[in-house]
Amino acid sequence: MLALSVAITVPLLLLILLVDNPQTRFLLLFFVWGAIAGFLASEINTELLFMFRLSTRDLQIQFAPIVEEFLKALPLFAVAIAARRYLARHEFILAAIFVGFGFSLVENFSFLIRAQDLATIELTQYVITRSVSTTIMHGTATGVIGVTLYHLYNGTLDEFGFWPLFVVYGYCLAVLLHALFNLIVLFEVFGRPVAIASGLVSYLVLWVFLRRYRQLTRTQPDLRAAVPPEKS
Amino acid sequence: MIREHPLQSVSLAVFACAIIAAIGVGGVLLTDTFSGTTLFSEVFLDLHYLLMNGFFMLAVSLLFVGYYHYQRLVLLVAGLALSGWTLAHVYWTLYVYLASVPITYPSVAELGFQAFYLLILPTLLYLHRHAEIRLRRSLVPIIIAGPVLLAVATIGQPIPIGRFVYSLWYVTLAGASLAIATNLLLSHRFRGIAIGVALFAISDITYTTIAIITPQLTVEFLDPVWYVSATLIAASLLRYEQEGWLR
Repeated sequence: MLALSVAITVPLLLLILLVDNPQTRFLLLFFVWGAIAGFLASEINTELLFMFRLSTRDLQIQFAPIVEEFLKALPLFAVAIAARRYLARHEFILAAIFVGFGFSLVENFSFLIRAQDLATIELTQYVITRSVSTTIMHGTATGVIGVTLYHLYNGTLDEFGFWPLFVVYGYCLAVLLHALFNLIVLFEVFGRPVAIASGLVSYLVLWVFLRRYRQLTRTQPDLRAAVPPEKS
Repeated sequence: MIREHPLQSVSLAVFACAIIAAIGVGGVLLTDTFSGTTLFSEVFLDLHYLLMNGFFMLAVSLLFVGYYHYQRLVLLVAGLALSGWTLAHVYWTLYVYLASVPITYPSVAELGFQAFYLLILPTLLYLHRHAEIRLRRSLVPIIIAGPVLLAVATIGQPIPIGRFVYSLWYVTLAGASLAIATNLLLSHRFRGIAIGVALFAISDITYTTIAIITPQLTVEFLDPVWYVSATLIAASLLRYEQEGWLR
């Protein structure tokens, strides 16, 4: 897993240094973190398996989502604490999705390496299924946390207050979506079609939401600028 | 004359259906108790969970559609609150059916169950601020009562510390929601959502206490209370919007 993570992150890091566009660099950085988080999650999950004598099933459908969503969300929380200005733009949500995709890339390759015994057609089906379903699920789950932080910063939920409760809610929802997906996929009674369908539906939802955010940004370029100075 | 939006009629119909379903479940459970039969577990269990999850999804959908139509944020936040609990219960139900064993307590589903209270608390406090209702300090004992009840019930029981601490936290969240809902009730404002949240919280506190001191992890007589409360919360909020109380 470490070799895989390094094989993905090093070229991307070198690429980031060559890229001029700050937005592209921002997104690629989050993608790189996703790849690193994939390795870290694998190590932590293996430790949990042995430390608490968990079954593989319990790890996959209960504990792994908690660990993985937390690791993926770390840069989002870091930005929310130390560099809040980046929360003002909808690209922050895209960055959250990039973390999930980066994570899934490492995870998919690690599963691919372990599935070497499958015949070519089965392997292709397996890869396509994971690429469509798991990748989008990871992006959506982290995207939920990104959307929560974006709206909190941009004042959408100001009249409710209690920011920390919304942040915790976003994390809980991300974990639950992930756990539910793993549960459905693990028990293959209706696993694969539902996994692919949920992936495609999630992707459509992401696409519609991001389009909407882009339109809103064109009409209100900086939502925070509309807030009176004394509220900022 | 304000024309009633179909959404309010639909939400009331869903609430009415939830009550009818609850009466049905109650009747079957009572029949089983007094006659010693196992009609509920052998015949109606699948239908019961299908209905329960269905009512929750309907309540959530009504609130989301209400937000889309009225652009009232409180409807979205309440819908998100119920979504957390609904997702958790769907997970819980699927686990039981697919794994053929009850899920442990606590489990990852608890994140969804507590997510309901994480958003319903700001929702209730928003209603308080909106209607300029003062919070009574005398209701603080309600928040404390849940954890105290739990602590007393677990005296002498060999309970893992993690399970006990989590249960205390959850019961405190539910107790806080119960206290704030009671405040609304005593102020004679927003009574529908107050009753809904209060019943929800009481059911959760009861379930948590049972789950921690007994091996019982399914408590069928509480299930109808949850889905009737959820549909009541949705119907109430939509009615308040229709009446203009949320503007």
